[in-house]
Amino acid sequence: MERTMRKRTVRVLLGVVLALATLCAPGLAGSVTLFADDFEGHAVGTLPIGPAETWCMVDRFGNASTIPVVEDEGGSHGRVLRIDSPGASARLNVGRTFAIPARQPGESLTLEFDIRLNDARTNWFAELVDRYYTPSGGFGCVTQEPRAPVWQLMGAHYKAGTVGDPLYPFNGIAVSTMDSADPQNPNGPREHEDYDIELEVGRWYTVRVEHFGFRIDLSLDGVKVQELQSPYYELDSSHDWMLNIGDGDSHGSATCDISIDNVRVVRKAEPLQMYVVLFEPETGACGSAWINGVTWAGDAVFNYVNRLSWDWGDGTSNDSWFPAAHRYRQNGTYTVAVTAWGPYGNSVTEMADVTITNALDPACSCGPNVTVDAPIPVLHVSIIQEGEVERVIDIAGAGNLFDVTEISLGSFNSGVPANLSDYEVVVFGINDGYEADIPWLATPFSLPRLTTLRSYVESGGGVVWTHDSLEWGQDLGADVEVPAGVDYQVDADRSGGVAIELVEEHPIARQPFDLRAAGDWFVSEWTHTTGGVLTTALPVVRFAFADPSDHNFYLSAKESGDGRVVVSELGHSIWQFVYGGTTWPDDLEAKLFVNGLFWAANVVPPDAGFSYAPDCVLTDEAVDFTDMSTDDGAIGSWTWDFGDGTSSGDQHPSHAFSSPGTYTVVLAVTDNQGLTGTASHDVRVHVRGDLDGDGDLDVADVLILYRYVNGLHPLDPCQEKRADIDLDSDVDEDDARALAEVVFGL
Amino acid sequence: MGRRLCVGCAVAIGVLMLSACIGPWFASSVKVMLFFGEPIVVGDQGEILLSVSNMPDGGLSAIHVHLKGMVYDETRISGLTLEGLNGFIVISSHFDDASGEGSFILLNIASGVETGQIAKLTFTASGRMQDGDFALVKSLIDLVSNTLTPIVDWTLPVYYAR
Repeated sequence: MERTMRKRTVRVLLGVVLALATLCAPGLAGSVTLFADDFEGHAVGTLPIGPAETWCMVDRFGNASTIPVVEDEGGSHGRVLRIDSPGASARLNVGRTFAIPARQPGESLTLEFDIRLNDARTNWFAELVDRYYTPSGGFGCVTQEPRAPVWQLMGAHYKAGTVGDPLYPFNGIAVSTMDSADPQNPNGPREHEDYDIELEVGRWYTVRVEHFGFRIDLSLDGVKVQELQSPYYELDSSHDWMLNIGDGDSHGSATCDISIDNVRVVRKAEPLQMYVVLFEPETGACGSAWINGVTWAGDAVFNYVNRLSWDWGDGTSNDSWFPAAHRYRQNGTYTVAVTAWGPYGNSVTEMADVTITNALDPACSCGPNVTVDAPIPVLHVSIIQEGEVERVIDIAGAGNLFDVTEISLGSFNSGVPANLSDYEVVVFGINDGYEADIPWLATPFSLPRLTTLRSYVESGGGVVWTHDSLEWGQDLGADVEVPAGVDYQVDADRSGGVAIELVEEHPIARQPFDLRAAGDWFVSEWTHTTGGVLTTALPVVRFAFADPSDHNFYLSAKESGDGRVVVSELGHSIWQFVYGGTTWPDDLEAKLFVNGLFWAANVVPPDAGFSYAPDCVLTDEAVDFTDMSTDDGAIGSWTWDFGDGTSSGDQHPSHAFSSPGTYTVVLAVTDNQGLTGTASHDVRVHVRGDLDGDGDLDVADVLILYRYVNGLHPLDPCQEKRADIDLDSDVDEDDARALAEVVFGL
Repeated sequence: MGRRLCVGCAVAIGVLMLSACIGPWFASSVKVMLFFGEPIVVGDQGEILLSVSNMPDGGLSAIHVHLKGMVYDETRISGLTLEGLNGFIVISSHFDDASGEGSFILLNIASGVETGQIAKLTFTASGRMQDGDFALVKSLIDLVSNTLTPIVDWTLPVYYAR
């Protein structure tokens, strides 16, 4: 009986819903959407709306339902409607939409919401934060109508529940629990997990990361367009978006709502109360500086710092927890700024000055990273001052980038340094105090791969990067991206100490890279997550990957102590991971996340290939060979073996074969990584007049040709070419007679 | 009984002896040949036919008698002319009466001749003709069948071979 009543009730409700949906379908424009699962609060806003008409409430799926209470209270700019939904029967769930009848553009309407939570959670309330609408509005009972007015209610100052408390549904997309890597420390670092979720435009999604930091990368067509730390963003409704929840290493709880809609995001959460204090910067050798600590304050739940961004004042920046370290290339005083970011995009910045005096110490190398992996430009010094120059008495300075190879005039008295950079040359002549001009004539160099170079000039002058005849004319300190395998030179005017730093090696020409462990512990095991145990008890392992995907490595250490994992490529350290300077517990796995920067090695040899023309080759006829080889890098050399004892090193050679026969032509190409690929073709060489292809001219060929000119025997295109004995581009009886004369010995 | 046995044995022995003398009487003797016929001389004008027999692959379609591939007695034969027969045409020919050497190319463009005459030589004769007045050199002769394949397994009669 009770079941029957329920069925009847459902049917009645369905009927009401359908009736309302039908009633509301025509003439509706705009909508108001409340976004919160459970809340109580009060919201007031204004919409462009005219006289009252029938209202309906449509949820995100287009289902209409009743509106608990709608009151017309009037207003100065139109009509004021009140929606009051106290009690369980008026519970508003996520996505409920109030469709508003069509009105003239420019008309306004004030809406007041008084909404209570039916099963109230502690201290929750909703706030209408902003609105967005299109004056022209739209029509139809469609909640995802482009540029429809959408109101967003979001919880501000809300409190998170305990870990694991199912505060919000995950919209059915994905739910995952990230376990701590250390079973002894449940609140310790988590496993890294990526979610690539295809989000539908016009839908709202809730992303929740509990007890862990988070990072959200928004990508369009596979290209990362924005890295977001705030729960609310402005999105473009004209594309499908991918929402990627990345990793993080902060602590606490965070819950965010992300709208992928025709909605302009309105306003972030209220700035959180927190502050950050920098420790006094400390300096070390070779221009290094570090800051040992940062303190901050704020609500332990909402106002914690989950990211520190460092601007080192020299054009470089990075994210790092303390101790944050940096190495400066030039001496000077720099203003270091650290920005502490809260969980909702709120931030606070603090600055401190640091003075560097030993960045150019000769004992130091060119930097903590790597220097140019190529022949270093060579400095030539010449004295262009008119007059007799007696000697060059002094060269002073510091640096080790350039070798002095030539002094065109004058001589050094003694103590000429082996290396010269940032030097002043003092010349004594008839009139003391000549100035010496120091042109920086660089020997052309080439780089092994696509590389970004950064130049510095100590004082005065400028730097001009030259690539063949192309002059970039980059400004001081500008980065230059230079392709591999091309000659370059660097020119700088006098007194300019030029340093060149390899900033980034692009993973175009992919090389094997090494993982090397250093420190007080030894490596017991390298593990690649997809490749299993690679090797054991070796401090250095070399990897070469052919795929551009990410790779995770795990390093097990058996001894306590500090440790590092160093990633190096071609012998240069390009990344290192330091375990915080603290004692490394026994048997704790350190995770090294190698991302796309280190994609794979260039293990793919060139794909050699070539074509030749003409297809029908005759003796003593020039054959043009065309190289069609491809490579993921650059092909540096070509070696052709024509099979007749001759060869060529040209890329596109031409060759003539003196004797008939079949020759196997082999092309071997070598790329800039030293990898080789080969290709071959059998080239058949014919004698003109040899129509039966037996390599000889005889009466059978005469018979074939006579039959052809009499229409009794077909010839293929190559035979026709061979049958043109008199070279008149035609095959006729003259050719037959000529061939007969040749065969007959006339 | 004994007489009958003796007669039977004698008949059997006789049959065996006859078999040994005449060889296998069931064997065929198909020879692929190129040969001259008997020269015919009327007055001082003579002619001789060049023929083939049992040529394979649709018959002979081309013959190339290279230089010195045909020889004749230049002391009694001169003024040679060559005429194709049975579809053969003369593509090239040369006869040197000083040395008694000849060469020519004959083609049958349309088809091949398996057995028959392919050419006729006319000449001026002096004195009585005899075997060996005309001869061919097999190693200097190329034969091609109607299917354009070389014919290599052929013979010359000994009295025309040189």
